[in-house]
Amino acid sequence: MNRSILFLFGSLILLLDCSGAHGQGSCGASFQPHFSVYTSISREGKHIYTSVTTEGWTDISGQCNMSGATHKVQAYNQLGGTGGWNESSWSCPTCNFYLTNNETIDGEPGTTYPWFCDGSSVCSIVGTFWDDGTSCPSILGCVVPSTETTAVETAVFTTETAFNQTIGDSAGDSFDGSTVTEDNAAPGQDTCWGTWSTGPRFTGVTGGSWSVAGGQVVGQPNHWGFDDVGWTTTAVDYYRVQDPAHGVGIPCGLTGYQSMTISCPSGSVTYTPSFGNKLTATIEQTDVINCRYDMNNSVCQTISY
Amino acid sequence: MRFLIIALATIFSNVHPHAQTQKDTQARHSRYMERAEVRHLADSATVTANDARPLAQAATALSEEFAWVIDFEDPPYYSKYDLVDDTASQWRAAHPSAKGVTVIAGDTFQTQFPESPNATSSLPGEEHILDKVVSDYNASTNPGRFSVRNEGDGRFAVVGTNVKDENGRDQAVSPILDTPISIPAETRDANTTIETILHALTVKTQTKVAPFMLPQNALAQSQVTVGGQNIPARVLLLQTLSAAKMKLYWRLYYDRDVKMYGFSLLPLMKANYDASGKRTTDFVR
Repeated sequence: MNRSILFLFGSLILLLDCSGAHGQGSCGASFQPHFSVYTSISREGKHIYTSVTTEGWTDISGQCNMSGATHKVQAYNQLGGTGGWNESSWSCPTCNFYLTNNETIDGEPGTTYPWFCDGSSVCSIVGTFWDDGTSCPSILGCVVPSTETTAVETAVFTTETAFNQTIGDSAGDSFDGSTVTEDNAAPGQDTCWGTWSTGPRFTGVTGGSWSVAGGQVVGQPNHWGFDDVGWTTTAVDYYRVQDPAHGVGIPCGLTGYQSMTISCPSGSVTYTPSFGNKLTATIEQTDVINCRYDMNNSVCQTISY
Repeated sequence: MRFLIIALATIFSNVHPHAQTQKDTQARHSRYMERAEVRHLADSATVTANDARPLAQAATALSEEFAWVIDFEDPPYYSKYDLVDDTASQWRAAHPSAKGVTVIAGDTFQTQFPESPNATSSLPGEEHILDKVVSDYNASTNPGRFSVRNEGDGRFAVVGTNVKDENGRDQAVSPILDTPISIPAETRDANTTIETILHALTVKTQTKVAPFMLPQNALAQSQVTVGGQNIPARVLLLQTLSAAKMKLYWRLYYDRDVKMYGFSLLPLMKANYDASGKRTTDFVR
């Protein structure tokens, strides 16, 4: 009895199944859906851009007359209540599909925008036979800079350089009052240091934070700073004398990889590339060179010392 | 023939010590660890360090493992029992009559202590563990002897208290940051305040104590009113750091070759491990 029920159930699956990973149509053909959903977020100033792409094809095997059957794909992108399903035109069942659904909203700082996304494939005979079930995170409506440029402000503490940064976006948003904070995008390097040294090895930036248009750059809209980069005079004097005796050559220097985040109401958003800004400070025989390689430019200061 | 033997013996007696020193130097350098390793066992933990300052390396590892603020201060090493030659052979060849340079004679150090969540998350537990680590170090053959100070406000200092004299005997030393100094009580940025403290300490002790590596960005933004008459430099530094916008700890390293203490401030970091055991560190803000 049990065996009979199982056999009947299996036959129905073989004949009618369009909802899973195999089998379609009344001819007994089997197929494999090979679909994926890709999502992305980008932002510039208040603008939040989301993208949902459904891409793939259906692999059909076996003898079956598929004439009359067509397929299409759908991509769901709803951001902050805006948007919904997009769908491709109907096409052959084995055709390759590529469908992108873009949405854009202007976010307000302090507001969190729910983002829903999904992708599916639909058969003209049996309806939806594949659904991705993707979930997407909510997005903070927070202004994030898309550009940062660096300028040398002045030399400080004799051998260090104070750099002054300008952040911005094409929308011309104001970032004044926001807090930017540095972190390490990668471990720092120090070619001056030895275990004999009277100071620790440089291993990365020190986690400073700055108020945009505040502190040392008060009155300068969309500026933050100063970002001091360089060795102390003690370290410069020490390494110039001690490094050669310990077998370390001059020039030597430090390199830091600085990622920058900007404050948002419920967290921080990194706005620098994944490899970060590169900061270097090089000790030469008669001068020191401090550089800041930013997202959009680089600048160095050579100080005779 | 006798002349030849004497000549060869003379040559080897002159060359051999340098060659041996270079071999020793290379061997020592090859043993140094990038950082101390903390291993968690069932109910205990071990720390293994190998560095010129193995106790400082161990303190840094503990600091990062448990987000503890641990200051560290060298004693003023000066004897052949605490320092070894570290002069590069090429530099030696170019400066045959120069004194050369040294490195603190630290090597391997291992310690083990009981570990439980209570022990590592409470200040008494932290102090107990640091006492055990420093006690183990003091029982080792590594240079210097140290003690643990509870500095209050959740921070501890590992302070050098003894060095070896030229006869290999223990010699007690007074930690330089205990020196009372006087600076005007003024409102300054934290960076200027630290420089003022170190300058006063240098004048008072006639030993150079200079800022070596400082987080200028954090210090420049912190205004602090610190000063007074005959106050230990340590107290003034602690008052200054309490106003800083981030948690910082110091390293006070002594270099006998230049007779100078380098004072450095570092941000407190916490080690994190992913599922594969890969280690990263994050700032403790």
